Amino acid sequence: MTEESLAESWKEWFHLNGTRLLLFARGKTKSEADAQDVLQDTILRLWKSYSSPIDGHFDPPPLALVYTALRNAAIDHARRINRRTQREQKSDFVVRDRDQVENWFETSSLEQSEQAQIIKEALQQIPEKFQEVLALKIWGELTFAEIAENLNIPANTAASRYRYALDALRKILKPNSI
Amino acid sequence: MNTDLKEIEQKLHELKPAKLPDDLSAKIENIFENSDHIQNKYANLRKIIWFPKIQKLSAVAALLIAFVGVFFAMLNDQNSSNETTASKASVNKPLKRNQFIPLNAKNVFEGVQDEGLFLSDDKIPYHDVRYQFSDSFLWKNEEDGSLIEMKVPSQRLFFVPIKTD
Repeated sequence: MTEESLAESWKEWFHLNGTRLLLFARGKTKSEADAQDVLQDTILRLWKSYSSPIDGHFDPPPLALVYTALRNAAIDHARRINRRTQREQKSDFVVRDRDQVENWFETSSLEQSEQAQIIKEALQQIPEKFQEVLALKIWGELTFAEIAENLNIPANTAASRYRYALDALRKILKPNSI
Repeated sequence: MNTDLKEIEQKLHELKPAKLPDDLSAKIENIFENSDHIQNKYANLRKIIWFPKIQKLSAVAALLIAFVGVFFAMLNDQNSSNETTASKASVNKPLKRNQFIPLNAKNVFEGVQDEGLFLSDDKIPYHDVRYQFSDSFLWKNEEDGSLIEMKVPSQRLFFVPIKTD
């Protein structure tokens, strides 16, 4: 496999998975810029590990592993950000306002856009441990077993968190329903 | 799972993640097109790292220094062993040449001094008597007949117990 065809294979793989990976990164970070940084860093690391012209074939990383790498990168990034913020606060620098998070979902009409915005805000309100299970299950298309392995929790816990996440969303989106 | 939850799940499934920002897509595609790191990685693997000239020179210099050090250490050992022999000879020779032999020793009584009585800790009375002597020593060199005479005053103190029975 030539370098060009290898690059094309990677691009194709990224076009297939990039949107959901960015969505997951958005859920794990506090700003759009952070999410993009984390995704870029993760893709670069994975590409370095999985690109090998000597092997002669395209061997993409398993999606579950990509999510794990993304999650770890987001945690590392958050730690760096916290340290930087603390330094800036200690040294009396003004911490700049975080940029607004862009639309998380594809919309084609104003109504859809409004609904997507409501769901995005609801997702941001629920606990992160529920949100990540939801993102991995719905948009990551991982099984509970894969989610459990990814988050290092039992599969039953992953399933429970998914149900709690849906219930938490229901309470936010339909507060009057029982 | 009740209908509400299923409905929410359905809504979530219907939502598709937003497309990537163009600049982010471009940056990431640029990663895939940039194969420099791969070339570097495998070039490094295939690269034969010759011993750099400066390291060769350093190694030679270190060996030379070590050799010189060992050489001088050995030389020093040899010299020190020679010196020992020489010093022994130099010590022995004058002894032989200037050897004095004791010729005479005298112990002359000079006098006695009564220093009175005293009571010891165990309540025994003692008579304190001090004898004075003059000790003289004479050495002679056999070769040249020279004499060395030395006189030293000395004292001996005697505690004589007194019988009280």
